[in-house]
Amino acid sequence: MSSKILIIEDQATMRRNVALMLQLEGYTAISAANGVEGLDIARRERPDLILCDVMMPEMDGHGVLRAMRADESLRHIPFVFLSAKGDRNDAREGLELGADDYLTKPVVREDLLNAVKARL
Amino acid sequence: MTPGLTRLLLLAILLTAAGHSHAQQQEEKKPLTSIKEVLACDSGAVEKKGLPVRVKGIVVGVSSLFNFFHIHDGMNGTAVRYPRKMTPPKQGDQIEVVGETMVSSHGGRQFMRIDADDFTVTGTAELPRVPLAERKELAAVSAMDQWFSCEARIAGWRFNAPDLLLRLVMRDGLQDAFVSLPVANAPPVRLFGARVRLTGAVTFTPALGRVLFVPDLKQFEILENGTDQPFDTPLVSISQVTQKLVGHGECLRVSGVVLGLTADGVLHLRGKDGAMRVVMRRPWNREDKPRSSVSAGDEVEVVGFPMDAQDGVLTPGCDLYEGDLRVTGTKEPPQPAASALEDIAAGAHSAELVETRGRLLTLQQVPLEDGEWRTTMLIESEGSKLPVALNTQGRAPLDTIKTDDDVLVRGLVEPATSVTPRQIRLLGAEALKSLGVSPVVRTRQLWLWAGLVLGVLIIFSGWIAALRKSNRMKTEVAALLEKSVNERTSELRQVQADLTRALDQERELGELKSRFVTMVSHEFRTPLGIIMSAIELIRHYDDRLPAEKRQELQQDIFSSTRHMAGLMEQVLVLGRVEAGKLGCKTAPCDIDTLAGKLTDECLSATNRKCPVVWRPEGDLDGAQADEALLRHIFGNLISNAVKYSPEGSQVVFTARRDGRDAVFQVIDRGIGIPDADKAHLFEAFRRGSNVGDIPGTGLGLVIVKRCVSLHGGTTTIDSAPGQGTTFTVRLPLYVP
Repeated sequence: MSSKILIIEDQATMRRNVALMLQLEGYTAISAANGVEGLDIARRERPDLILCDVMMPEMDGHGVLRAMRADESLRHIPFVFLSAKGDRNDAREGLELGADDYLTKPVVREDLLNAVKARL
Repeated sequence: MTPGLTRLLLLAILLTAAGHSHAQQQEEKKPLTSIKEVLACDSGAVEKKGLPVRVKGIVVGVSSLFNFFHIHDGMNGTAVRYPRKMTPPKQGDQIEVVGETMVSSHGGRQFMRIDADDFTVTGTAELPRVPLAERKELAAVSAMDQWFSCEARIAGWRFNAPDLLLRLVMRDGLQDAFVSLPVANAPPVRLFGARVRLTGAVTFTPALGRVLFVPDLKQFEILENGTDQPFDTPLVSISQVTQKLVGHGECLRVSGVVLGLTADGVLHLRGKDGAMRVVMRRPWNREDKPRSSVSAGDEVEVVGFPMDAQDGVLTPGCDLYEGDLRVTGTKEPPQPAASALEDIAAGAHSAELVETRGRLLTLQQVPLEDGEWRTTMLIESEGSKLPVALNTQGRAPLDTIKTDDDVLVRGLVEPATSVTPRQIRLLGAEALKSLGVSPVVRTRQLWLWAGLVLGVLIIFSGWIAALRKSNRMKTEVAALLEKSVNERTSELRQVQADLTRALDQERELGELKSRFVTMVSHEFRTPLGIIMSAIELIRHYDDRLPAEKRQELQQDIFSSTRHMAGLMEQVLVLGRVEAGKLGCKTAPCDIDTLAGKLTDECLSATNRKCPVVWRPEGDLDGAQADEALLRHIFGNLISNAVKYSPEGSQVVFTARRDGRDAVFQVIDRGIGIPDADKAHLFEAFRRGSNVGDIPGTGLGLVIVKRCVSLHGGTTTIDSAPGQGTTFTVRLPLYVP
């Protein structure tokens, strides 16, 4: 049974492409268009790993992460940021919040897959 | 002291002085052959070792008791000591003396003499003739042992065989002499006042000091007989003496009242026609007439010898040398001649007893010998100054007298001499009385105090004035300072405000840049991420992708790239605006045509998401505009309107002319702008809080505002969330 990966990304094209790539790699990819939706799906689907954008409407990536870390049932799920905010401070902030990794757009396929494999 | 003892002493000194040199062994050296050479010897060297002497000369005098004789070679004379075993030569013998030099001392000086080992009488000769000498010549240092003749009057005499002691009055002073008389010879009679011519050698004795040694009566010639009744001498008036109407060398008699007798033996005598000073010093005491028997008020007769008051060496400043004195009566103490100090200083009242007053300038007291003290004062009156002298046994009790006191002095006027100034001689401390602080001094002190007070007042008032002025100045300065400080403070505030503003602007710019970078980064990374993901899919999974999927990915790449190009364009425009490189160059512009083009371009750019309607109102021809600026302004506004409107919602673009202005409006029915965001709407990268996931750079309205400003226009917004937004742009496009 393949690992289930949740992609939370407000940019539809990006969300679709990442999901497609993960599916082609054998993962089960599910996606959400914003933080609230992503959190809801995460609670329902219990993904093995979450890839999450930072800047999103409704709830940004930081909010999603905090909520997950506060939720006993979601706390253990590996959480990887995939953000357009490439500043070093942004990455540190994300990691300090408890993220397992921080990827910056544009991300090379190899980096993305390595990050996912390493956390599964 | 007896004459014999005198001579004994004289010779004892000579012997003592010569003893050591006589014992020295004489060396075989060329001896001195003249007395001149002997006299010229260096006494210091001779004292250590005598020089051999072989001289010739004539014996001029021989001591009758001791082994000394005087010789003379026609030019010089000296004394010769001879061995006791030898028979002394006689006066007038020609003699050759062999011996050596020796030194004798008297009065702190040393004289060369001869210590003879032997002498040979070779014959006889006449004594050398010498011209008459004055007293001062006898007193000269070089006169010792020399042969002199002089004329004088005998002012006193005493015979103690074998010596006849004489006090001589010479023209220029007193001189003592003694004559060697054979015991058998009786002394001459009627010697007092006799005029005599003496010839002898100058020598010295402890009792008489320098004295003229007359060896024989042959050198004692009476030119004019004296008297044994001195008070039979003709009486003359005092003024005759003081005015020198009677000559030197005379013997005369004066009478008068004793004004006083000074401690150093000068009698002040007042006669009918003046006063005079009489020297009462005698070479030997006359027990029959002690000086102390004379006191002020006594009427006396004085027999004496006028002297030159100036030249008299032993008694300077005196008029007469007393030979004899008798008291003829006694009166009340004489009254002083009241006199002004300046008159006395000018020369009046010489020798008189005066009483005068003056201000005491100085007072000095110095101890002399034998408990005697001298008090010297200087008093002043009317500009004249006069010294006052007082000799007392012990220190005079003058402690109550103070400088600047007005003092009353009673004393004897002493004329000036070569050693003392004209002065008043007090006879006792009681002759000096203080009259209190001198009026002159008091006046001066008053003036001084007044001056001081005035000075203090002036200084004080000056000080106060200065203080006031200073205070006034301080106030003025303070006011000036305050004003200046206020101005400066104001300036500083302004500067501070400017700086704060500049800092704020700087900070704002910094934040803007930071935000700009972040935003640009984010805005670029998003399409780049899409492009990258699409390409990676195509690269790695091409064979597994369906054809439509591949096409979709290519479209993603295309759209994202175009978005990035548009974004880059906006950034560049803003950069040009910020750099001031985007100016306003107006040119005739067909608004209608331009607006149509912009509308079409926007429709194309937004994939006709919303219908955009260009709706001009009225005539818009004749506009002068910068087409580039209009493109930036309305391109952004229209694309914004489309972007934030729901799909299919109409966007209206209108324009009308209002006088010199063209008024454009872009009207949409989109999401609107919350009131809170309106204030920041034209700031870079600020976007409405309600934009959601609508992509945008946050630069569009910044560009709009800058371009409207460049074109001299204004922008207004009319918007409400959910109701849509109307942007109104007013541009002066019809300026003639």
